Amino acid sequence: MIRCVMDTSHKFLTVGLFKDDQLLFYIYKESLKSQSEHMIEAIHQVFTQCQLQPKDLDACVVAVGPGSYTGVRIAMTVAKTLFATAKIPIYTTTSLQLIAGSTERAFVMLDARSKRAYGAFVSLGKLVGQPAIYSIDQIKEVASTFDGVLRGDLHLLGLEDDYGDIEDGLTTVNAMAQLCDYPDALTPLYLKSLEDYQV
Amino acid sequence: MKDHYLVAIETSCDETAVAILKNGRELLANVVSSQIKIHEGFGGVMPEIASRLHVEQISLVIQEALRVSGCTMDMMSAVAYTRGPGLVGSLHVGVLAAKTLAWYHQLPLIPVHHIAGHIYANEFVEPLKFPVLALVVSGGHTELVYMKENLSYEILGTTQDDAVGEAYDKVARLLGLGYPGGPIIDELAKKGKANYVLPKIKTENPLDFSFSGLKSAVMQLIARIEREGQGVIIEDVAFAFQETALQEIMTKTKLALSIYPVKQLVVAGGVAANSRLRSLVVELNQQFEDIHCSIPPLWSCTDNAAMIAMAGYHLWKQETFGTWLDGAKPSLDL
Ligand SMILES: [Zn+2]
Repeated sequence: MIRCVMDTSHKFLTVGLFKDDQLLFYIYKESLKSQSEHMIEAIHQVFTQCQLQPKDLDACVVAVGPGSYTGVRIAMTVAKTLFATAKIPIYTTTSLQLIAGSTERAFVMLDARSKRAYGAFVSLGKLVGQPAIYSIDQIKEVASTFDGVLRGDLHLLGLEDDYGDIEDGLTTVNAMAQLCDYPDALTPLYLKSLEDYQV
Repeated sequence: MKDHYLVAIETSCDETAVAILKNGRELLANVVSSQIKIHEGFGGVMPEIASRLHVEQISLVIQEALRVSGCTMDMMSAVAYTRGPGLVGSLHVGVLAAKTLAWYHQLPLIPVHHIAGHIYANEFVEPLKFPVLALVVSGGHTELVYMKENLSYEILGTTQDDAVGEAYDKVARLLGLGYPGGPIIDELAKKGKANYVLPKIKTENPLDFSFSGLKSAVMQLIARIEREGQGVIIEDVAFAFQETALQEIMTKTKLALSIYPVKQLVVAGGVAANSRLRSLVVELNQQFEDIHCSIPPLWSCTDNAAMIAMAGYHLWKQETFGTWLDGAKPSLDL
């Protein structure tokens, strides 16, 4: 079973290739504005490196967000297109889980601009409750009371960013991702409702 | 010779579209999922919503095109897609879908300019006869393009401010009409009379266009009528605006035809669906009898992927291929 794990919903472009639960090769690079340009090249490189053909792909694991800019749509468009013509199943996860990895208790935050952050509690690869939008003050409050590990865009708290161990993250989400029953209906996790635009 | 199949994707604005073209002639599928109903509520295209809807639609539209055509991806020879111009978030979805198809099914990629697509839509009627003068009129473009031969483009004139379709939308908004403005004003103008006069627009280059002044003139006209305590006859305003805008376009087109050796005039873009413009082109043909004038079929005036496939077919014959690293280009040059 060859699975390709993809995340483009925050500032890193991540593509990892698995044979069952074994991570074969991955690309993980900061690429804020150019994910669209580099995505397919990255996928191609990962497959070439593993001496695999595109048709060897059995499933995609996609981080559906959270995010609010173009990036969140990139990996999903790739996966939905592969589903459309090759019926490759899609499993879903989130960037927050990728960053938390297998940590027992983590709170992951990602900059959502305008002094806000996407945040979620993650335990052993599973979301605890739903990801939500937090104000910086709310994030600070969580940080001061939470006794687990803080991850993500920690610069929001004046600390050094920490995106965890990518290999652990990839392995964890590959194992925990959920099969999507209706890939055509899959939409990114924007955490910003359409109503917000109807101003 | 082996049959040639091309799949094309267009997502530059608010239509998610996929088409399949056989041998550069036979349109096997032309699926368009329009978002217009949703954007109508906002009085214009909302870029963020447009790109969200493209992601929602893309896999369904691809599958529908394959189903309608009876083709499989294994039959395809290449993947064409709109690289630009357009809304960046919208373009990204089509670009990524095209690149994914090219990677997985190991096919060459053909980036296509959206306007080239509109021009080549005319080939669904008959092949272009060069040299061609293309009058490109849409919500994003107003251009006179001279084509000495296939795939060669020289911009003779372009709008200095608003595109003509944009002017229609803005005037429709001024008059409290809906969106999109083109079809509404076209309908109203049919019932209008030559009652109001709007000023002619001047541009430095005689082949360039300008429409923002015309929009202001409509605004001033309405203010004046109201100041004088008369009721605004909306049909007559629509008539005055449409006549001034389209006569402007025809005057410049005739000027270009008198300067350049042209065999065929083609009209391209959404405004090519305008009934008054279509009849003006027929009139022009009577004046320039030795020039062949063609108007694209109504279905291909609005955005679709069939036109991208047709332009893509010519690029394929020339082996003009792109790479996986080509990104969406919101302001791509023709
Ligand atoms: Zn168009």
